[in-house]
Amino acid sequence: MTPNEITALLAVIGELVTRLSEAIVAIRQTAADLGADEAQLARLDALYAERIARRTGGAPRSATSHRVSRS
Amino acid sequence: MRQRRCYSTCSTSFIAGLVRVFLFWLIIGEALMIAGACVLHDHGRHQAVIGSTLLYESLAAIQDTEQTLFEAQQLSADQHRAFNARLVPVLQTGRDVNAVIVAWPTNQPAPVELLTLVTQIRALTEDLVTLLPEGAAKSLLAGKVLAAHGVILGILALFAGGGV
Repeated sequence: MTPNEITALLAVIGELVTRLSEAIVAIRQTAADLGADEAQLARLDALYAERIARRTGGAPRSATSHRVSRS
Repeated sequence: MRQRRCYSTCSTSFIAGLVRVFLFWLIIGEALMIAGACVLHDHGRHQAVIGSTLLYESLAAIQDTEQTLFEAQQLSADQHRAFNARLVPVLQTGRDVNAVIVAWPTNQPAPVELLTLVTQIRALTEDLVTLLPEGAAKSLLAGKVLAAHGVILGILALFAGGGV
């Protein structure tokens, strides 16, 4: 291998390593989002249940309105 | 001299071999990571979760507004009862929408039940304010219902985009 070929190879390796680290970050973010989605759906179900119970006489009315926010 | 040249050639080809092996596994690793990211990425469902949250928020706003109006005696007990009878199925349908999203398998198109329920909830919310007499209370609630319809349209857009 000539020095030029080695330099070119090192550039390719550098590019691949960068992409690999970007893919790792994307996977970790997506996995976190999926976990957050499931938790959010469970929270919404509980909030609906509470509001339905409140209007059907199953639970006393709370003075504070239950709101959720999604970042 | 010949032996030294052989050492030099052998050492260069050894390094080149190592680099090729390293490159090979790096490319394989990258391909696997990108494939994994594509499998995990489920844009439609995630949007539906956001849609479900906004739907809950808009329905909660309707309920809270009506409760405030009732407590301020801008709605009679009869109107409150009649409104309540229509609100509970709306909340139940909202909960059903949420349950359908929970059961939505990853990377699958949006379930047809979601479209049915969202269309149903739209009709139910339209009926909410029809029983109220014209006035400030009805206008206020109609505004909240309109906001809910905006959210519903957003969820329906999931289907226009192919569901995922």
